[in-house]
Amino acid sequence: MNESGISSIRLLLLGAGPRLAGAALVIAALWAGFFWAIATPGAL
Amino acid sequence: MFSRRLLLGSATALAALSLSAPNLTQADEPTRVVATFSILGDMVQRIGGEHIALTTLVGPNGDAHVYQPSPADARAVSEAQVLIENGLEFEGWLGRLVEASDFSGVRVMATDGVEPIAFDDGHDDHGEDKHDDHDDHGHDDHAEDKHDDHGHEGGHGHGAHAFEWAGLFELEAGTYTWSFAKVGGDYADPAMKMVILSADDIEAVEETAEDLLEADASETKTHGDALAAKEAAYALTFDAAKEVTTFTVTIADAGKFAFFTEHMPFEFEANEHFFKDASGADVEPIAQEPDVDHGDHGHGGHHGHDHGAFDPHAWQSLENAVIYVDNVTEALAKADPANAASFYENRAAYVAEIEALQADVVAMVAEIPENKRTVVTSHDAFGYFADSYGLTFAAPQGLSTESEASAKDVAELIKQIRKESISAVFVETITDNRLLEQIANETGAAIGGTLYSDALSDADGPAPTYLDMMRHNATTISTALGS
Amino acid sequence: MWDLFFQPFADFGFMRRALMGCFAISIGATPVGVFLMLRRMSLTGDAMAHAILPGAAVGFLVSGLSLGAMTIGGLIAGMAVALLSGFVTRVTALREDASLAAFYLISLALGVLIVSTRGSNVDLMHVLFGTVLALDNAALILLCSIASVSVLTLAVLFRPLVLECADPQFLRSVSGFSAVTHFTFLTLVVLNLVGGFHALGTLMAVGIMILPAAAARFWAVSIGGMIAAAIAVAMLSSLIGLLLSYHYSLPSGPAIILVAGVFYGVSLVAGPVGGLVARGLPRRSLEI
Repeated sequence: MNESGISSIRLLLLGAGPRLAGAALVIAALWAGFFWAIATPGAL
Repeated sequence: MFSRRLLLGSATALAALSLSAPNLTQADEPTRVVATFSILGDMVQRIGGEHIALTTLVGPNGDAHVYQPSPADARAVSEAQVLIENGLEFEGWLGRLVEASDFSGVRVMATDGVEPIAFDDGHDDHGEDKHDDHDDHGHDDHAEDKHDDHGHEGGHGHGAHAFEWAGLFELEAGTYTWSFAKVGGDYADPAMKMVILSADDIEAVEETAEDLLEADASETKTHGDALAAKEAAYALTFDAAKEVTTFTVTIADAGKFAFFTEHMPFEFEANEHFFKDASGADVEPIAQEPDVDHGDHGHGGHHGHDHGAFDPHAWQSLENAVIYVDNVTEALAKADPANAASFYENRAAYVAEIEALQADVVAMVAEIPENKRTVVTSHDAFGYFADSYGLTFAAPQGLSTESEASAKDVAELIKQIRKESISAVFVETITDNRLLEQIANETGAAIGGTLYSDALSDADGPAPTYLDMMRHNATTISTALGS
Repeated sequence: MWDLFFQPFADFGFMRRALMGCFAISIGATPVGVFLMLRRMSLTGDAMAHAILPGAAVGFLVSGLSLGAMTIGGLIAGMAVALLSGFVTRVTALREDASLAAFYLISLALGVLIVSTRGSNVDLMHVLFGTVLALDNAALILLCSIASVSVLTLAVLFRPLVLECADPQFLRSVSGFSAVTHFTFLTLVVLNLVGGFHALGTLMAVGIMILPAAAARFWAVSIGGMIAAAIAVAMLSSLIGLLLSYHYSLPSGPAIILVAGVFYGVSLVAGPVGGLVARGLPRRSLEI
């Protein structure tokens, strides 16, 4: 059970790489937006 | 035998009499009184003293706009001999409570005789049903036809109608006087447009009046000029040097006439009615829009909601407080005639204190520089204060704390704060102040203090009684704005 | 053009914050909503929102209007309900929907009781329902953080989640990871609701979670596509709703949700994947 358990997890996490990269991009954009939002208005 | 029967008969009759008049207090028993909220409760306690057993429903720091009564409240109401409420649809939940608790006493409206300020901006149209688990707060829409576009100010917003008030009068031929008096040292507005049309009812000529009022052309009239019913708009200007500006209205033929005014004529009433005939007798309209009916207690309306056509916060003016006190005293004296003298004594003392405070408040406000007399608060609770003392109030939320602000309202308020260089905004005890804090952050204004709008503070707070509350508010405002 | 779309955000800080707050919620909550929808758990969102409320209320009673206290309180309540209902589902004959309903109702009643006995439940109603126009730095950071955590988690757990949508029994039989996935997913639901309603109100939080997901259903076939479409709908609704609130004086939260609703309606009718028009038109599907 343990052995198949480990490889199952491996299978399930397959392909996580590119998705994580995409996620990182989105998060970066989000926080960039955050700093834009809290800046004093006038600078668009 | 005769005397025994007589005795029995009269004893029975007496018993029956006392049973059938449950509202007349038995000697030495305190009258059971229920007041709807803390401010009113304080006043009632001052008048009633030890002769009443008072229960207050919405306690200190409570919000009567959205209050939900408990079973204990229902019990108090069912046992009460006198129920004192604010009225002006402040307590939207009261109607149902009274019905459900099988109340058999006397209901008293403290605002009886108060000249109400009309609510004519669109804020409460945004009343949102925020209570997912309580479905009795439906979305309350318009009591009159209001449109949710314009921005607002304290007492004098401009609704979507070009006229704020319309009155239908049945008049004989002759001359009448329409007067505009200064209130609190100033005219509510420096000028006003008016249209007078011969009509059978207001609706028939409403559109014509609107067109005339909205057009650029108008006839300027000053103190003493004559007006007549015709298809033209009058631009009435008030004489700043006089306490009262009067115009003569000449009626050629008897009939019904509709008067449309840009502002409420009641805002220009100091001691006298605004419309009199040649002999000096008051002339009342046979119909009005909006409906200002003093005798009728608009209890709760159809919805569980809290706003009607008027601003309910009438206690914010000390002059109105005297009216409140008068109504309370009268009600208590009727319910408990034995102690009426004591009630009237208490009233006299209280009114003296109120008038002393009035003088103080006027003095405090006078010290605020003219260009700094705008107060920003959380919700439109201070219309009467504004009118009484010559300040302007602005808020993101409307008359009820249940309304939600729109982005436009917030933007307008920020623009106003920036334009007038308002340096301080004021939070309230019963509202969510995050929006106001956000506005303060964005404009650089400081939080000038906390105001008590709809409820007293608890005993160790700065506003445990009504007079303390008014004094605290006035002091906070004048200190923050005066500096 | 500038005046209509950009000027409100150029001129006013609160507009930018409102927009970013909504964007954060769109990014964090909407994908969660897509999965909820695929797993036929759409009403769970509303139920969980009610379950969370009392936790936040207790947090308020303990520490006043503290973002931290109310968030933690809401989290605890939400997780407790999620865990308990999940446990009951697995161990007894009761199915997930009934067990969740039972627990959230208990939680809600408990919350009202606690709050009422402590006095003034009245002010509570005010503080529990935030407005997107009043987001301060702390609230914005909370929303962005929650969105970040959600995005990361979903990136890692994407495959197991998809598998659980398609065939929960299979995953459970093959790997103990299923429980972890399920639990983590529910945590994300609670997290997004907690962050959302404190900042924006229950209506907005649940609305943004579910409506765009429902609309996206009609535009994409792959789950990844659905998520992308849902996020797009959510962000557009936020932008348009805020602009409507600004130009036409409508309350902000409802305006945004109603725009999302309009998107949903349009998608329902005109969406290429399973929409009314698509289904109604005689098309290539007749070719075998």
